[in-house]
Amino acid sequence: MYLRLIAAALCLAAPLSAQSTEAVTEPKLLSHFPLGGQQGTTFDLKVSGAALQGTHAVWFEGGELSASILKLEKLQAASEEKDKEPEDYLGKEVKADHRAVLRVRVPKTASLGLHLFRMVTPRGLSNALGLQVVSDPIISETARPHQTAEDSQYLSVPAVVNGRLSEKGQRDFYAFRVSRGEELLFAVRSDLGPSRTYQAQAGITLYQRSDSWFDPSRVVRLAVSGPALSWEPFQRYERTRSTGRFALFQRISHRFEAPGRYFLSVGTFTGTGDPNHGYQIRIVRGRSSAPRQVLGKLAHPDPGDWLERDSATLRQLGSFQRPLEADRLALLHYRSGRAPFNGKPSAPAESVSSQGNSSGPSSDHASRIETAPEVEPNNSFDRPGTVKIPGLIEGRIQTPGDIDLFRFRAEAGQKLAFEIETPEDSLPHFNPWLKLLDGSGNELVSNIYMEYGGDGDDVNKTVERKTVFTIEQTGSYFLQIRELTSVQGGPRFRYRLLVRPQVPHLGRVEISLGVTPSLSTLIDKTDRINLEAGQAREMVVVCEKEEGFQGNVLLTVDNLPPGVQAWVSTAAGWTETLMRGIQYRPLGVEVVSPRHHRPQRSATTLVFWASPDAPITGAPRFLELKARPVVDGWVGPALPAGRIPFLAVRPAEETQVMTSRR
Amino acid sequence: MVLRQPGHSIAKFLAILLICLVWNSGWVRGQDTAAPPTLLSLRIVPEDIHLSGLNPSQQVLVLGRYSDGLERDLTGASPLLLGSAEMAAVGKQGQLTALAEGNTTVQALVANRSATAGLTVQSLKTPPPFSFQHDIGGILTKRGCNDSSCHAGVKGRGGFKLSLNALDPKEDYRWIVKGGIYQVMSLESAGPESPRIDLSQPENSLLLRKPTLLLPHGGGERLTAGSSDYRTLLDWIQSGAPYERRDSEAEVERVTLFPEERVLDAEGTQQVLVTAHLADGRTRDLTHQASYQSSNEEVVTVTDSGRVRARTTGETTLIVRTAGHTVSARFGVVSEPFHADPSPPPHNFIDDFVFGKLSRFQIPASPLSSDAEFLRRVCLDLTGTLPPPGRVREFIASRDPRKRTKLIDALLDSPEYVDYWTFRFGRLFRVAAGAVGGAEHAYTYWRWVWENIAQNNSYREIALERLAAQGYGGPSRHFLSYGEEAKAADIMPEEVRVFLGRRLDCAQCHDHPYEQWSQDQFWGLASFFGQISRTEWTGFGASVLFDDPAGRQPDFGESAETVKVIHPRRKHLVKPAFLNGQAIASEGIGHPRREFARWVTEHPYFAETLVNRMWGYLFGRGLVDPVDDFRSTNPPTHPDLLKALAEDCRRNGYDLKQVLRRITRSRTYQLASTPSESNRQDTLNYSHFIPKPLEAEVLLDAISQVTGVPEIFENGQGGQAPPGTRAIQLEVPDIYPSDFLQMYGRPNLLQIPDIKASPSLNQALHMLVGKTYTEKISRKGGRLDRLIQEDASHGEVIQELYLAALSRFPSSLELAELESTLRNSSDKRRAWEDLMWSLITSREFAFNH
Repeated sequence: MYLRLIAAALCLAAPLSAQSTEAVTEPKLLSHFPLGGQQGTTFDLKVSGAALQGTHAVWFEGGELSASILKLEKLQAASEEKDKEPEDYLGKEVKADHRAVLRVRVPKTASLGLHLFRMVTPRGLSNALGLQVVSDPIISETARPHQTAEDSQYLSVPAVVNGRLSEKGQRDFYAFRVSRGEELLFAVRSDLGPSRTYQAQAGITLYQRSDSWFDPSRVVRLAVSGPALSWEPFQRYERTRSTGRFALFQRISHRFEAPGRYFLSVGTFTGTGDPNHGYQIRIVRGRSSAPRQVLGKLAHPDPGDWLERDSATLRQLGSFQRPLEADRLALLHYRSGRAPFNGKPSAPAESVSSQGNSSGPSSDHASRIETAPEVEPNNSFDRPGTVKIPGLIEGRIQTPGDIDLFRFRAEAGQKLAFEIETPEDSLPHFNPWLKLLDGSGNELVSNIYMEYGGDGDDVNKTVERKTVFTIEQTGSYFLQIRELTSVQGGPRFRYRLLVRPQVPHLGRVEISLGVTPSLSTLIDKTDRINLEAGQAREMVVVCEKEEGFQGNVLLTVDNLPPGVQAWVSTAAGWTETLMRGIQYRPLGVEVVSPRHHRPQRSATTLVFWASPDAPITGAPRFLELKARPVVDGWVGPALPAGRIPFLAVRPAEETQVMTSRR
Repeated sequence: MVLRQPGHSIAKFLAILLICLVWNSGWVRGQDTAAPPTLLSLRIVPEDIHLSGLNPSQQVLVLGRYSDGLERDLTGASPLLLGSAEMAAVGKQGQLTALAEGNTTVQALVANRSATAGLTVQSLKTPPPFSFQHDIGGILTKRGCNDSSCHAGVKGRGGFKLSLNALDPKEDYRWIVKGGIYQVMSLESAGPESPRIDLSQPENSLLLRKPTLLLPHGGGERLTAGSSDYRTLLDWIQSGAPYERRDSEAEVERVTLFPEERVLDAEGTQQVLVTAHLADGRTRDLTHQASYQSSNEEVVTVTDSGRVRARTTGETTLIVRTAGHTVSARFGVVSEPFHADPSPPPHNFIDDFVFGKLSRFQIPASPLSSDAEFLRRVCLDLTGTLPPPGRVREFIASRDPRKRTKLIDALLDSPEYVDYWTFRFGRLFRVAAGAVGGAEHAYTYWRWVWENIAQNNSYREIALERLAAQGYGGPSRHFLSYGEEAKAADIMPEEVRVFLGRRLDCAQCHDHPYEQWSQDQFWGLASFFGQISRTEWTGFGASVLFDDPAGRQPDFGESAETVKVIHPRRKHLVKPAFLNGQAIASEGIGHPRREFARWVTEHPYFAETLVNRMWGYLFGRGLVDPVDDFRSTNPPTHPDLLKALAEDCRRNGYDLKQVLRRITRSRTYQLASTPSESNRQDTLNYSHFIPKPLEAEVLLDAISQVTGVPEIFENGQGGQAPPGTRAIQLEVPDIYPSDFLQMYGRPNLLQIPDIKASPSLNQALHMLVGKTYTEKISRKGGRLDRLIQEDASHGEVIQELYLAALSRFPSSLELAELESTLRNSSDKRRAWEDLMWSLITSREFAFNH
């Protein structure tokens, strides 16, 4: 049975609650090994963490994998130090005090990708760790030390290896053979526990023999193409939505000109290592099967993860590679709340995939978008390409310094939006620089936004995926697009530029934001809710209103268990700090007006409350957060806005008694 | 752990023994007893004398070539004889003053030798065209008025500002004729403008009354009333103090100095000639209108009239200033000329220049180094790595006549070469987490340096890429110090210093006080960097660098003016301009740094700076030293060699390996480090290889290598570099704290490092009791441990340790003494440890020689 609360939230006036503190006794997973398995196999998984006593189940969020608990042991004091984690986001020290052995079953049909799992304990759900499911056979790292090229472990390509960086400074060496001209793709993923920084991410280095005069057995690095430092999708226990982190040599593609034996080593940039630091390497042939499509990518992403623009603060990175759907206008109209809606709960057929699933809305908007392929040369005002509104330009920065120009006609008062997609490469390697020019070539607006950020006195310029502008005079206009730098261009610098009328709509709905006690840093406060009977838990929701959306947003929570309700809370004192932080204007100084590049943002707080007699829930569940645009008395469709793992648990005292009896 | 106590008897004995044996083995070259030199030939300089204009004069030199190889100044030894005596007056010191027009000859006679020069006198009634810069500025220069310590100082003196050596005559003219009080940061006068000349009563002009002390003058008396210069100034004021030059042909294109290089014996003197070359092809003698300065008056002194006199053995530079020009010459003083040329046969052009100068300067070269000495030297210089004992044995035993050349090639192709030169250029380019705003960014920058060195990319391409770097890759991080855009006025001087070897920093606030660089030039160059901007991509300090025509945006609290390139005196927006004032071409406006990079890499300074830097790495000092401080007052010791090396470098596509190959193949590089009695004093002419201390990282690696115990580098993030990582291999060195490296001079790289290491008490103490020395020696699994396991004999241990540490076999004397000492020791292990300690704390070990 589902209890359900409709929290009508007029977002601008939405109240916020006081900041909560995460319960110290909540179970927390710190590390696991191995990091994944093959489809159709069963393997044992070792997990360490804190407050895992009484763990009775393992919950896979996607529901495809299953696991049984073979062993759960409390760690001795001596080994606690080994698993000691310095700090989590809230500044608390977390030590591993339990270790479990799980037997994991991966069906043949399991989706490829990262499957998040949590431990179910009497104190509630743990945070999530990820298990990577791959199709290739998995090799385990040999027990024999292989920290030099001479001692390296031999691999036959293709290969997936589960290994561990147990010691500080450890680099594991593997050997493999290639034929002349063969191209291999290498990828590695680390177990980044809750407190490991991105610098603990394992990276790959390739080597070949050197015939050094000093030491003929020495191996030397291979120079590989591509950037050393990249920005990779990042899923960590408290961040399961679109975000990323730095990685050094996490992915390498290399063509071997000479046949023979080569080596790769795995280690972290800063040389960290401990017994719980696992990694997974994948080596495949050829260019087509890009490893990034598997390693680290969620098998079951949150359907509420709507990407409209890149924003570090709201953790929505990677929007430039978000496909511009053929029915983009229909999708936006669907989120606008303009269409009549009967107020009934959303049926599955009504839901909209945020990433290009066009099955939700039905509209003829899509058919009106014409594609305008770029025709070179188009870099001068006397030979521009042309585009109609709405229109989709498909072009490419052919060479470094290439500039593409397109002309279009617009009417006075026309509100336009320009959205860019860069399908093959994205920031920071391809930074599309868009300028709207008037008929005389004068710049009216660009997709460079400037605001104060950093420590408050730095101007941050950002390249924006979306720019909006209202035309003042009827006439011809130009769109100029180029790479921000003048040193990059080529086949991968492909772009799609959608020129369309603005559609006021509900944009991203971000959940779980909070600030640290010092009010200095935005943090995730809630990646799960473990609620005791009679207690309450807050959750912050930030709504983005795009392109002049003036309506309200109705927030609903589905799938609440019996005895649990969700309410809207009053604003907490730190609301203003939170909002200023989100707006990136802590000093209230704008360099560039945000009207072309920023939505209106407003925050509200939901309070989840379990009544004193609320029964515990035996199995975890997702609370489904939905957002409905409300305009002119019309209530729009229920748009997925996020999901929160939930468990109703016994009070702490009761749990302790039960655990000790057991 | 074994602590080496200073009083430990065996260690002390061994240390003393080694010092005695190793460093007192220099050879003493016998000196021939020479007969007095005889005059071989005579010549007159200039060979053709042309005089014109009102009262023209010319300093004439009579020079004699002697049997000892020296050319001596004989001017004044006998009077000059004119073919037509009425044409000119002849001074005692060889000064000719024209009296009548015509052609004749000038003859000198000394000790039965004669020389003749031609003399042409014409246009005696035609006054030479007037030039404010040279006629008035020349006097101010000669009299020291526009010296940096006087009115050409940063703020001027007493409110009166002149440009250094009359480099900016229009400004000088303004402050003299219009007057006013100079301000550093403004064009305006600080007070009412009052001319420093008086056109109605010229004799009352401040310009005359101050230097003649008719009015109090802080600079003392600079002019004598009625002197020639006084009259010139007075005439100029009386004629209305004009500035305009009516005859552009009178412009001085260049000034030359004769001789450019001269060796004097202990009693020697030399009059110099300073000649202005005018645009119309004529010349003008400025010998008596120039200002002279010896860079080292212990070596030579110079009179106001340009006569140089030897004082003690050595070499120095004579700096000569005229209006708008500074020139220099090198002077050497030898104690006793030698008669034979002992230099080895030259191998390439480097030897031609070096040995040629040694010959001219009468300095004998030391013999070629031994194979062992060469092996150690070249391994350390090209790879920062000691040769393994096996390789030492092999090299010394080899009879291949080309083994040195083959070794150089093998080293240049080794991965250790890549390690070492990545380290060196990483240091020059300031690859450090603290310098680029994060360890991961420093790593990408390091990676870029590594790839360039590993692939031996052209240094020109490296410079082009770094200077014009954009985007997110390694070299772009250099422009984001502390994660923010570098300021134009900070980054430009660094680029010029690294790639053009000039230090412009002073010119940021004012015209350079000692050099020709003006504030306008500084800001013109700085403006090339005025468009640097960045996007903040993730909010976590990741930025994409690009040139934005809108420029950098002001930080909070900054005005838009402060972030644009504004001339601090003139207060206007500065447009990019090269040193000659030329503006950027229209097609390059959007990419100013690319234009700057092109200009830098095509400039003659670029190759000179590179080869000088590489020379400095190998010899411990540059042909110009410091290697990034080229200036007219710091000329190269071997200017022709520098030019030839630069040309060779250009011809070979700025190939770093080729530069190193060229130098290390030269016999100059391969000379022994042991000096002779005759060249012991020489520190500038490469008569012998001068030992240089190992860099901190190389020393630490060498200790680890000899002891067989790798250093563990731990960082502040709870990790450590992979075992076996050497100090020169650390990718982001500043995240690895090291007391040893700190003590031995590791720079912090927040600015361009200056790594002239000097010994310290801390180092001495560390050698005695520091863990780097003591723990590594006794660590299990190290070299000594292995030798003990192998049950090696004393002789085998001595030989192995000598080969490992010093890359040579012990001499028979050393072997005998050490074996005897070790045999008498009751504790074999302790005795061996003492021997190893003595070796790695010896000067022979800690220096590359």
